[in-house]
Amino acid sequence: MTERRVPRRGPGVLVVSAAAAIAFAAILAALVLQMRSGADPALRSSVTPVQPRVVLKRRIIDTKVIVTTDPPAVASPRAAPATVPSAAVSAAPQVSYAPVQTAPAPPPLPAPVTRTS
Amino acid sequence: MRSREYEVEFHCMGSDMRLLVGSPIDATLPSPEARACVVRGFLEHFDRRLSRFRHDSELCALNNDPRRVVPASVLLRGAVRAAVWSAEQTGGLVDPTLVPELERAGYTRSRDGVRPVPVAEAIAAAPARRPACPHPAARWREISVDEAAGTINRPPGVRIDSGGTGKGLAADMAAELLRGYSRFVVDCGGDIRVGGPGAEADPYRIEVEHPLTGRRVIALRLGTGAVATSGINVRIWRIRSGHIAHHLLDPATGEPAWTGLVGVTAIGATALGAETLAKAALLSGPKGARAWLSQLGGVLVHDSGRVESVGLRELSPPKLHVRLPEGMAA
Repeated sequence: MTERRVPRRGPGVLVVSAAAAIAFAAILAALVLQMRSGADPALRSSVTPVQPRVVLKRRIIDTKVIVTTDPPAVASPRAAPATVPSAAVSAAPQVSYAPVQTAPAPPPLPAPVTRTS
Repeated sequence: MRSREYEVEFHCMGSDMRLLVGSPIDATLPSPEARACVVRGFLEHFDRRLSRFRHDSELCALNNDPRRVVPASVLLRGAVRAAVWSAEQTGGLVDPTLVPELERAGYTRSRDGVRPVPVAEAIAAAPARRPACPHPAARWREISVDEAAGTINRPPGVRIDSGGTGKGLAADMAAELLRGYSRFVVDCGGDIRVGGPGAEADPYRIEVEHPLTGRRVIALRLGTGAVATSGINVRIWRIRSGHIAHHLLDPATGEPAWTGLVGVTAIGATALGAETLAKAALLSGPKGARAWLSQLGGVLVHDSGRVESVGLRELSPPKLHVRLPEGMAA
C-alpha cells in the first residue's frame, strides 16, 4: 500500500517577512548605537585618533610709554653747608610775575653743572 | 617766559658734553637742532685734531715734527695761542709744555672711563701741602705762532699739551657758532659758556658740584660769560710705587701738586679765561687762590671738604620790564 505523501509546508510568507524586518531593524539599531558611541565601523582601528584642534590665541599688546621729564632735585640753598655764604646761594633775584599764557609751561631743563672733568 | 631750548648731550674729549640752544633771533639762521648738530660736529673735529692721545692728531704730528717751524692749521694755531696765553696770564703756572712730566707721572693715555682712585685716600697719603710754582726754564716762552705764515715756532722736542685749556677754548669756539640765538649753553665737561640776549634777561642757574661728595653746593646765576672747574678728583691714579698721582702738576717739580685744594670753580668772561683762573687758583693753594678769584669770583673746595666762596656777587642782574596799567600816566 502506498501512503500518500503529505507535502511539508514551510513558514508562511508573513512570518518570513516579519522575521526579516525584525532582523534588519535589530542590526540597524546596533549600528546606530555603535555610530553614536564614536566607533565608526567604516574606520579602521589603526587610524590615529584625531587630535583636538588647538586654537592659539595671540594677544597683541600695543604699549605706549609717555615719558615726562621731571625737573631734577637741585640742592636748595638750605641744603648748602654752613660755610657757604647765603648771599652766594641766593644771589638770584626772586621776580614773581603773572602767567600770560594759559598753556602749561614746559618743564625746565636741568641746570648746567660745573664739575671736574 | 623762557621758551623751550633744544638740548643735546654726547661724549667727546673724554668728557660729557651738553648743548642748550634757544630759538634763532634771525629767521635766516638754521633751527636750533640743526645748529646744535653743527656745533657737535665741530667739537668732535676739535677733539680729533687736538688730542694728545690720538696718534693721528695734528697736535701729535706737531709734537713729533723735528722742524723748528711747522705749518699748522688755523685750529691748531688757535689752540697753541690759547695755551701760551694761559701761561702768560698765570706767569707759567698753567704750563702747556709739561708733557714729559705728565708721562713720567703715568698720564700716557686717556683716562676716559677709568675709575679714579678715591680722592680721600689720596689726600690722606699726600705729602705736605704747598703752592705750586712756575718752571724756571719757562719752556712755553719759546713757543710762538705766526698767523701770517700759518706756522708754529718752537724748539724741536718741546711738546705741547692743550689739555689744560682745550675744553675751555672749545666752549668759546662753539659759543661763536651760536651767535644769533636767543640763549645758549655750551658745557664741555664742566667748562661752561653761556650767552644770548635771552640769557642776559633771564640768567641761567649753574650749579657747582662738590668734588668729594658730588653734591651741588652752590648755585650761580650767569647770563653771559663762563664758569669752569678744575680739580684732582677725576684724573687721579696709583703709580707703580704705590703713590697716587693726578694730572695737575707743579711745573717747578714736575710732580702732582698738593696745595690744600681739591677743586676750584672760577668765573670768567670766557671759558678759556675761567679755566685758566681755576687751574692757577688750584695750583696756588688757598691763599693764592683767593687772590686769583677775587676779581670775578669763584668757589674753593679745600681738601678737608670745606667749601669757600670767594668774591661771588650777582653777575648779571635781570632786566625788569615794567608796564604801567592803562590810565596811569607815564
